Amino acid sequence: MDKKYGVYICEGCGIGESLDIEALKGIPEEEGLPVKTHACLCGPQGVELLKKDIGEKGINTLVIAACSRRVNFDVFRFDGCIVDRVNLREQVVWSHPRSEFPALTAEQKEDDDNFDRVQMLAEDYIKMGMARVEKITLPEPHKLENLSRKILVIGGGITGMSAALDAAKAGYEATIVEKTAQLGGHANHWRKQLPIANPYDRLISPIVGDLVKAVAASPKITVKTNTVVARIAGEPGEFTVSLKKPTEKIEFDVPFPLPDDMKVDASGKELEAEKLHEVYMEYNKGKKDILTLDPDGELYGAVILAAGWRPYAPTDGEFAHLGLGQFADVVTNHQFEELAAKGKITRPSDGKEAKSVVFIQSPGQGNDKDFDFAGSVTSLVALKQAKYVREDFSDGKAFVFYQHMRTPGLSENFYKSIQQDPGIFLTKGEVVAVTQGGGGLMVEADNTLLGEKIKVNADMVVLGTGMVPATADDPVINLAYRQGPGFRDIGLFNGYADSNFICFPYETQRTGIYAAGGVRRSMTAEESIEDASGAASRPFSAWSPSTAGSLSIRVRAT
Amino acid sequence: MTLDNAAPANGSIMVVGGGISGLTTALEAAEVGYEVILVEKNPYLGGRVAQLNQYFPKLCPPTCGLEINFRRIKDNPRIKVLTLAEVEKVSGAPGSYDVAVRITPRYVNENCTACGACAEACQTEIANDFNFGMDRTKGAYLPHAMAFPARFVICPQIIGTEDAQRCKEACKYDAVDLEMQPKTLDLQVGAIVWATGWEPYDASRIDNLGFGRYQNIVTNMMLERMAAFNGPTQGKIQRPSDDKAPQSIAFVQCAGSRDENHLPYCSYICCMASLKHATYVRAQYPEAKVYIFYIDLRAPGQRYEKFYQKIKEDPNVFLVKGKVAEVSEDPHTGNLTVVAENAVTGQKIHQTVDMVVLATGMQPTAANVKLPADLKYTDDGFIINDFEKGGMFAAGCANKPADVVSCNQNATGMALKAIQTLKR
Repeated sequence: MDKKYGVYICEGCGIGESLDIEALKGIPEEEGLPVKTHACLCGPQGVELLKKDIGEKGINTLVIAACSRRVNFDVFRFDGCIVDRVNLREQVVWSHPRSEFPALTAEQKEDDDNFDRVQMLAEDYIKMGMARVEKITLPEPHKLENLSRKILVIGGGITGMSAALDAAKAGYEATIVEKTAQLGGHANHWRKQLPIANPYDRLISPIVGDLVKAVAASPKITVKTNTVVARIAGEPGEFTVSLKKPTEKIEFDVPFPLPDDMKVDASGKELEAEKLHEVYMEYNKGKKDILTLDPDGELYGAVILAAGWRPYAPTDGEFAHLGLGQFADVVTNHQFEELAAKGKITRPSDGKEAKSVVFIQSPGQGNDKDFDFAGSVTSLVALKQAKYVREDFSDGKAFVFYQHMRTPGLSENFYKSIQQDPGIFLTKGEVVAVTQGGGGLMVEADNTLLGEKIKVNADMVVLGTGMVPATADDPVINLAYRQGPGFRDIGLFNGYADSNFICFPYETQRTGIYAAGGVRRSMTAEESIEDASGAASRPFSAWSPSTAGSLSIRVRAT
Repeated sequence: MTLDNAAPANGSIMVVGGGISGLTTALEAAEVGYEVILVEKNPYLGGRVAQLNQYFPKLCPPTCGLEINFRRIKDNPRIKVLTLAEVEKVSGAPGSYDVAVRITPRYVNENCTACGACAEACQTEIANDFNFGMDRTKGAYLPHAMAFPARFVICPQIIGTEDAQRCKEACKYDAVDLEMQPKTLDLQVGAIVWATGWEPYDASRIDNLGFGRYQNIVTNMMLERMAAFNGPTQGKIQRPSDDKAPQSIAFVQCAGSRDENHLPYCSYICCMASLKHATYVRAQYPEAKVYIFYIDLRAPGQRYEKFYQKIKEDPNVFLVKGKVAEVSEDPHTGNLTVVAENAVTGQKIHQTVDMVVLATGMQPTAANVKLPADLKYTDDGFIINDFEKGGMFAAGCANKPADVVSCNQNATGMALKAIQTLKR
């Protein structure tokens, strides 16, 4: 751009009273830039002056020394011109009132060592503005050669299907990639699900079947089951995706960075650069490097990561004080749901009816935390499963021991409805031991609302273990990026694929990839469906030409 | 951003409410390329979050996200912002609605430079609603220090008086227009998203907790304003009766929530808000003791759990499971006594403290005044979304009590829902 500069100093809003305008004019004059002043630049005459200079003199690079860029942004916007705002008002005159920072007296001026700080501040800012406009260029949208408007949805559970349906309803094509043989995810193994609509007071049949039907009926959605993402290469808007079967090994599997223990020799010393490279190449033998694009790869514009979660898998001996691993009738909530989905609930040990079931929400041992990765979902799940016991057996009893009943917001209504059931007992309490006794199991709890230690006979005990995000185990997105295939945890995310922003919840650390559902945070089905809409919304604004193509990185740039 | 009033073509989206949810929905839709009209009843954007000092759990300032959003508004010619505007009537069907919007006069025009001369000249003082009446502001005022649009307002009470003339004469830019009239715009839009937000539940209705009777009982939102640097006490948390720095504060959780007599639901944010407030108090007063009386401590999600666990470690923060039955006052000292039963030990607790904060719940604004459109509500006034029907949607706290992250998630999704309506 052939720049023609102009500097304009406004004297309004106290600027003229506080500063030596003539001295300010000297700054651009010294550099040979034309400078004008005006009593009120944002007023009609001021704007007229600017427009005239632009129209008649061809000024196209303006330094406007006046008020903050936060105001009058529409007044000082001129097509095709570079405008830099130098803030003499808020940042100089208003924040450094002459009552506190007096101007130099005539006497003080005589001594060269004295200087007027406020004036100097104003002069420095103008100098900075002039330096800036020299370097500023008008933004050009980053135009992609092959902008794709197809969306890749990783994960075909409730979240993935909802996202694909939302995208399709807005007129876009989506492909769902699902690693198992069928759509539906965990919901396929539920007996019932938590309510998803007002008044939130009763369980409903899983809606997953309806979603699968809707996906099948949508001409804009392609489904690929038994498929995972081997590699995502390219850039946002133009991702080249290589897909494969889950157990396959292909040359476009993404190279992985070396695990830490392979970076050192037998004595623990870090390997030399050359040796490191050799080990890295051997480790990734058979794989194409990250810069080679897969000629058979499919082009996608954005990715919605809806890869969900897996049940927490307790290690050997974990929760031994609660009988897990010792007694067949102590199970996790996930295992209990599978039993319940098959039919009436019976004990794994001997097939007897499980008429008395104890639900334990917190591992205890001095802390009031729920199990890891529980979020506030497991409280609701325990209530749901307690209801199953009552559904199966008219004399069935359920006991829920919790530290905090986590049913926030409107899900409180579901909690209230469960409290009405005379066969379900809910109490805060710390379960200290699960042992054998009374023909089944004996659950001992302390610090309960009943004011005393209590012992409960149980046919089965269910631990409220959590939902581990898929990204805790595996990068999933497998990006062919220098920074590595997955999201970096940096001690913040605990394995979840999430944004660290409060105001921009869908911006993961990788532009163009939006996470939704259980992979982002432990969520109920209702929350996941809503989350899917949000994530599905993001690609459209990121792609829009109106945002000069740079919107998807707006949060980092601003 | 444009502030003009030209009626847009059909195929545009109206967002009612310019808080964080409304802003999010409006910006998402406008950036996809749709014309959006943002209708806000206050003279400024930002709603409730503009009144917050910090967000939990990161303790970051709301102005960060707000300023980013304002910047996006400024750069987008497709968003029209109407402030001091309220929807009067909606008729029509999904894809084609007729909306009457009433604009209340600001009595200040676009010449305003926010110099403040009118406020200096004005002699009337009115209660400052932004600070929940904890201080007063002039009849000519800027709603708050970071108000956007940055333009003064003249309150209707002084119109027609000498004081109004004083304001007009003080203005060097001819920005005061005392002749401004209310007007009604008739607009055609294809979809409407209601992001009408929430208001704090009126704590004076909870008899046993003494709000309104005893001076040193404040609500959680009032404490938030006190802690804010641009608030009534410039960031200092102090007792209303004598400005004393509190050495002990009690937080009463579920003040009005989870209660058949008041709000039957859980207001979602109050546990986290009180934990956040505990950090405010402890940062200002390292020796102070904080007592939190709760039913269940709800810190939903892993991030919030971490925050809770960290605050639990503070030896000066005491968490007691026990619903507060009563708050009484010692009139000589202004101190308050909180009576609760420790649910686990069965012990009755009488805790005397310098100050009490009621963690009052949130009510959707539509709880008390229904919106002039064909919408379905829960018994508590939350708008129910009907995605099959489409056309109109609720975002943010108008839909359910939620924290800022959830509101933004929801609002982002509602932008897409609105777009789907236009594409039908």
